[in-house]
Amino acid sequence: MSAAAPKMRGHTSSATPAPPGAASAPPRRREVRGRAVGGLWLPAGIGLALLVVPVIGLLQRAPWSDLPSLLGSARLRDALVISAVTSAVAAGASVLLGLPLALVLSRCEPALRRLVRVAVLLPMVLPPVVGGTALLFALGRRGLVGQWLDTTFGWSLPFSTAGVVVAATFVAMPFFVITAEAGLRSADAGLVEAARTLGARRSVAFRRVMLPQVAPSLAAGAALAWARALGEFGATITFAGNLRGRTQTLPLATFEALEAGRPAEAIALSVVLLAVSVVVLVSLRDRWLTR
Amino acid sequence: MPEPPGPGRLRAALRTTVALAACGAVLAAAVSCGGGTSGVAAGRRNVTVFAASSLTDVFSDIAAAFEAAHPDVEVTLQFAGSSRLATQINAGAPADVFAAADERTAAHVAARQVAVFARNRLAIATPPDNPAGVTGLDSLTGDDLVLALCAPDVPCGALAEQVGGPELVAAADTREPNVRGVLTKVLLGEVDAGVVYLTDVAAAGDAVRGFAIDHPASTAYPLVLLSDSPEAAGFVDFVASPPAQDLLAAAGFGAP
Repeated sequence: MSAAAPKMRGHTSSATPAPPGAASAPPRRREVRGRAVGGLWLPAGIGLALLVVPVIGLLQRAPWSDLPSLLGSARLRDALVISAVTSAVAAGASVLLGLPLALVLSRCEPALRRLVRVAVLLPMVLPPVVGGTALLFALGRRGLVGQWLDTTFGWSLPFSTAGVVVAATFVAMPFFVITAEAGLRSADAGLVEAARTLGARRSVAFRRVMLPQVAPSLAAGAALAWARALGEFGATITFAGNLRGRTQTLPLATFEALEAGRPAEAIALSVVLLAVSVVVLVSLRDRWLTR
Repeated sequence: MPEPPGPGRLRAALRTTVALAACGAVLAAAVSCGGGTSGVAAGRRNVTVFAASSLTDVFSDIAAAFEAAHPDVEVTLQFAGSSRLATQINAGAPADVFAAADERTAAHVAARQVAVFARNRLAIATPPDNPAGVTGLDSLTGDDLVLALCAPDVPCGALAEQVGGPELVAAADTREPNVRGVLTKVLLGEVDAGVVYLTDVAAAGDAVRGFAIDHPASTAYPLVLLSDSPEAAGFVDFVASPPAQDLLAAAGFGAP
């Protein structure tokens, strides 16, 4: 979708016919823009406030002076480690499994592509707790596949750190696949063709010609997937449970702190997650902020 | 992927709008099918009761009995872990009555009146086939056994720590937000054992196997009155009255 946006804009601006008097064009456009904003200020402002006020509310309650000691507590450190490890592995898995999926999606028959894309998009729109429940009945000890894993290999995913990774990958991979697919589809296939006719092997053409073109999309997709994995809550608590040092991630620790009447701890954790989100946004600034 | 501007896009937008409207209609139909009696009838006064998860079944029965005795009053129930309910009440949730699973949690909210109405003890629940061969508290600390306990800050978790000590805590594979979360994991067969209340084992019937814990520790359930409304006070009195106490006893709760 995001890859489509600039194309659209290019299309419309080039399609706008230049008026006969070229000098009269800029003022007219400015006039249109001013009129369009006038009546929209109120609803736009309410919308913006709805998004911004909660963040301000959080920050003004943050115990800034106690933050270092709060974040240094063993409980929060454990959650920080679990979150860092599982979100990184989930982002890695999303790239490793999602890139082939994106390539297949970008190349396969349109009918099949629609079908696969629905499957890929479903975890994005599914409430995460439903995803966790589904994972439990698929990969749980008595689940469709989990039963077999348990009896054959003695593997049990629920209540394990691996289970956290599975839940996070389930919700995060679609973000990578969709972003990567958009990049792959908008890349210039003619260049790869050219490389092939010049004698490059398929793998070389992909690595040297295709990858550099789609690298920004892949990086953005990976960042999005990682951020989504880090924020994962519903599927994790449903499928992987909640145990400090094994499956308790930052969002789970935030939830438990708030439940237990330790709001300062919950706010401190929220500030950490907020800071990470801002870093992700800044790292994606070329994609979203400057366009 | 980008559709050309013009009638095609309009049609697509229209299609999306129709689809969303259909979703809304489905949700609305589901709500109206399920909630025949939940709508607030005109002229009925409301009592909102926040109750610990372990009271899920018995308080539904008590509320029904109370409504039968007071046709002009409607009871709204919300169940969750006691500590979450206390947090919500302190954050301004409109509860009239709070039934907590221990006195420590009840002490966190500003109350007008507090009275213990029931007692409970812990028990072990396993799936019916008892896959890990649980025999009692001592058999829970093995490495191979998957064990669910309540979170440390919920009453059942605190009581489990008191009863089982650090060995039990170290053996836990998950700490669920409330006791019914533990029971669910046992019902699904995802854990080999869960430490729940005696009354949860009774409520689950044949779906779980129960093992008594030979430990005298029990928890007291305080009923906390939070509002001035006469209906709320009426509900508090009703819970202490013989009809409600009979329901509690039938569910396996101990006398206050």
